[in-house]
Amino acid sequence: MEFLSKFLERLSILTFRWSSFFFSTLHLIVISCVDLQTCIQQATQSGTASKQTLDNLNLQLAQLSKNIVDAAGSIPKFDQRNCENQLKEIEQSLERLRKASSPASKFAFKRKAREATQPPSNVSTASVTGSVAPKSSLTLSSYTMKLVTPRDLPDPETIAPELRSELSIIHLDSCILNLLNTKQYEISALHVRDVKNSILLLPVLEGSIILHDLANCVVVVSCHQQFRMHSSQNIDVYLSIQSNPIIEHCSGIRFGPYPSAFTLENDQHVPGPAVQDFSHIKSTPSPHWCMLAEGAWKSSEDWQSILTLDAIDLEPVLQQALPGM
Amino acid sequence: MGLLTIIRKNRMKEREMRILFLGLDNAGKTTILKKLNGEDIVNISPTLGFNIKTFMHGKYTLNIWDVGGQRTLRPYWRNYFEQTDALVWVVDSGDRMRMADCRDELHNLLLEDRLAGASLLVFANKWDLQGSMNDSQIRDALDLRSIKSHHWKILSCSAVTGENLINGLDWVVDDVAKRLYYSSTIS
Repeated sequence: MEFLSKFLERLSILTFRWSSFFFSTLHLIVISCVDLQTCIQQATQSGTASKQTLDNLNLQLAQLSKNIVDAAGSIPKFDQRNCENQLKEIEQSLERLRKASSPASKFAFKRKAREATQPPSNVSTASVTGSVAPKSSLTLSSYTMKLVTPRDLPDPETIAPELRSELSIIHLDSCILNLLNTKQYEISALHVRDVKNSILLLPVLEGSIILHDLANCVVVVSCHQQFRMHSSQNIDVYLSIQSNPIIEHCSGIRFGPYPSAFTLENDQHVPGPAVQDFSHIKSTPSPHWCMLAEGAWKSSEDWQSILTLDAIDLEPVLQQALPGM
Repeated sequence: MGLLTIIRKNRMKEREMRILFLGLDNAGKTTILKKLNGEDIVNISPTLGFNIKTFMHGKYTLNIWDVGGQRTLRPYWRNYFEQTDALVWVVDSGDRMRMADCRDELHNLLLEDRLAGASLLVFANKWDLQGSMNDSQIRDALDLRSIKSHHWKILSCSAVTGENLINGLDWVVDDVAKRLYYSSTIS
């Protein structure tokens, strides 16, 4: 019995060592990947790189790929595939850098690289279509070229009380949506999906907002909990929030402060650099979002003209206000 | 004295449990943990990566791992499965639109070999909010009754008021202890 117990102890020590080893290998590989990427990025930004830098980077790359090959057995397949993909990316960026910094090459066989254009949002859209709201819930959907106001919301009496706090806004194109005054409902959660070329003035929320598949929009919202935006392009967000807003699979997102024209309070929560991009988990700044420069903020008059708009001529206002594709 | 007894004795020395908190984004995983730990819960941002909290509960030390639930982070959940004694699945009771999404993610998790045998507690969070679903509605929406591979329980709770959080933890600890240390609970 004594022997058995000792044996077990040994065994557990062994597994522990082994697992800590593979964690550390993986860790090292990931770190050197990121390092190399930043080095290449820096060199690319400075325009050209000297031969020595290139050689140095090459050496690092070779070391990294050797490490990844060596680790093949000891790290999970999933991580290994990840590493390999990253390695490929690094190789390509290094190649670009080399081309940029070397004088025109004399002669080379060229093969047209077939661009792999896979829409990255495919996965997410496919898996979420199953969860579209049932008809009886609080929904605004399928409008084109329309000024949407709280009058378009269904009568509270027709909605079951437990469904009144959650609003979904789906399938809008070229609309101006003004829900700043939604007194008949106490909306605490907001889902926005598939909205294009529109201006969304959303109510003040006690809870969270989630936005999917937006393109070329202006969004104004104040929420108390979380702001999450997925698979969207070219959006100007004027936001008041206490926590950090996050984006995933987005590009061309610009953040500005909540317009003072819509609020009675003076203090403003400028989101600052606190936006987190979950599809760019690196130490370098994310290329997918930026802050709106102060000069580019819409003025109170701009907002007033949107507010006092009548339903006829949306087109010029939209054209002027939207960030553009 | 059999092999099992030796294994149990080995684990008893530690009296540690590893509990994994998972769920969709905005379910309230971090808020629950912070509330349990007596921290401020006013400004909680979406979790990028994970948090670990260790605290004593009764005579056990709980290591609680709270991993971010955003879609981009979900593929990384699998890195935390090893040696998990219990899984706490946190649900936003008010989020009717994503219940189907929530059910699919949960049932996918339960297929994992490395989670086999782990106790499953479903926390139906944000119960205090108007318009939220009750525990039996969520039990049906998540199809919990089809789960045969794990011990499970569903509890409505509120991270803001703290309601039922301790009860839930009690159930988790009891269930894990029964499984791992039952010889010691008798003595």
